[in-house]
Amino acid sequence: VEELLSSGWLRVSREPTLLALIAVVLALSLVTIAFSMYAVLLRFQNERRDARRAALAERWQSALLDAIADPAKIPDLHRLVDDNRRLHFVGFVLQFARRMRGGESEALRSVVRPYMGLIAERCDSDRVEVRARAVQSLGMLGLPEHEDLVMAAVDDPSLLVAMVAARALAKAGEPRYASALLAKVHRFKEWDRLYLASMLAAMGPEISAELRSGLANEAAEPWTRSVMAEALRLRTDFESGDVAAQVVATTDDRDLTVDALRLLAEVGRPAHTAVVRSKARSHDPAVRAQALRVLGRLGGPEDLPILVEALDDDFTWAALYAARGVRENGGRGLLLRAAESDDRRGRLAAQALAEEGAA
Amino acid sequence: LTELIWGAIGAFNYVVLAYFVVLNAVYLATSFFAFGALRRYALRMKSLDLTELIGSSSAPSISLLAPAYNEERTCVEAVRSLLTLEYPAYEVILVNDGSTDGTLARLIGAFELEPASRIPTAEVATAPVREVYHSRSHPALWLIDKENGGKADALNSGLNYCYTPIFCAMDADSLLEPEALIRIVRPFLEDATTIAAGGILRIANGCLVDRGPPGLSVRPHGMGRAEGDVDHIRCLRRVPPVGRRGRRGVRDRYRRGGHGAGGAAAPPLPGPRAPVQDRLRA
Repeated sequence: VEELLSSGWLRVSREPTLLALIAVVLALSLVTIAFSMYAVLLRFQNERRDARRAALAERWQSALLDAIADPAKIPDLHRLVDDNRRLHFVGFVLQFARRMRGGESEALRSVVRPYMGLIAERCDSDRVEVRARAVQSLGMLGLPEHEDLVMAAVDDPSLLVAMVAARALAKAGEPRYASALLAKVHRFKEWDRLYLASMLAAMGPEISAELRSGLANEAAEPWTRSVMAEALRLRTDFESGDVAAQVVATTDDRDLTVDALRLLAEVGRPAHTAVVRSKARSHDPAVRAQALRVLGRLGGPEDLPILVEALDDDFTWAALYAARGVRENGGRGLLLRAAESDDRRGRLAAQALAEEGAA
Repeated sequence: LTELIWGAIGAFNYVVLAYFVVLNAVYLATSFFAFGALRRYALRMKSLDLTELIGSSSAPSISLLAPAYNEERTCVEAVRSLLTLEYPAYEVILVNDGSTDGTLARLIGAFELEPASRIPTAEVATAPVREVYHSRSHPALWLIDKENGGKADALNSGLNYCYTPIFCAMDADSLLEPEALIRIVRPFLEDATTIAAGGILRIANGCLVDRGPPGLSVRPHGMGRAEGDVDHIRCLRRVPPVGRRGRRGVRDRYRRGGHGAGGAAAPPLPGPRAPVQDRLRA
């Protein structure tokens, strides 16, 4: 650099600041070039890998379908799988496992059984994503042989791994997994409540009794009981009406009250309206709205005054549920008269009547 | 004086050089971090089956809020594409922001829209709403016809008529990939405290849509367009993130306040993006 600077053809200042800047620019340029080249190389590598995998998939697919149809052909399929391709092969079979049920699903399990030990070893990986993928594979293709690993993964420090394990157990639908899962629902507080409820509801009717006892358990956290209430609602479990009414009558937790009311609206009976009436005048708008919804669905003409009064509720959802309730409880004429005006009550009435037409 | 001027120019050169060195160093560092994060994201996506994740009973319902202003030529096709998305529970709320061309008439004709009752569930102040329409042929489609107030005002108006816990703010001339809603709702499921998420932006200005959804594919025309696209992306990078886990992008989903469908009124939408997008579209 010294020679260049003194040679005359490169007229730049000898100031150290400028030299430092030039050095930084050069270093950055070199790193950028190296990084760009690496990205291009990776792109080529990935394209080659994808092409290789596509060729393998083509080779395996027909043999796999033959093996599903005739288990005697499973050894033929195994001969097509090189030792260094075993993990990839399990991933390939996993795509089919998502779409197959019953006997075909069992056949897929037989196909990959020799390789599941390799997958099980990956459950100890330090990398979260590797563990999650391994648990997913075991959950879909390795149950019940590897159920201990999948059940242990529900306690994995990573929430991703725990959720993948929980979903796998829920999907398996075995009643013995239900208790284990319900006991650990609190682990998934970060996840959306409806999502968890849907996962539990998908376990089948066997879980309903445990969900009901979980909802009734006053020692349990309100959040957990809310999840149970939502799961019962998704299952449309008509036996849970009494429990839901009991919860509405006893709990102070706002979210749990709202979820129990929502459950009551789906599975309750007219006898349950007695505990709901006081909530229809709650100071909490969400509680009030859901209570009016329950009264609208389960109530009778005796609830009409409460519902008519709520047509002027400041909270639009409460007023809208009240309007629907008035319609369902013999107040159609009242709505028709109200709909003639252009004020808020009139528009509410018009909407409730229009929804009836649409339904 | 000459020396002083040359000195000032020299100092300015240093400042410019230092600025670009720092700027490019930041870009480079961002790329390094993104490299690892993208790799982890790809692996993570492998262990989560999106379609399984969004079972019909666990999918939160979404309202697509699409303001339209003088989009007579593109609005019908764009709305058709919005109505074919793969998602179990969503509705489309178009907001005609006082268009002066035939946008409203085209939409009414194409989707058999007729005046309907729909009570607003929030009371964010906006320009007056003239009429609310509902489609006879597509029950998930609503149109709010209002006086002109700008894009942010139109979005706020759509928000007032939103009945779902999550809404998606977008343009009426935007195209969404068929799986867009399934992908974007994932952060809301994985973290109940998520209040906003954004999608990846691809520029379609001056592009020919080859195969509309599904399998959206666009072809740019010439380098001039590409320069505009770079400016577009740079502008969007300067948009501040929204919410606790806000991300940047044209199509952003926000969780409404309150409790489920009985949500309380949400605050007005942030508006700085609107002029940026309007300027770029022009």
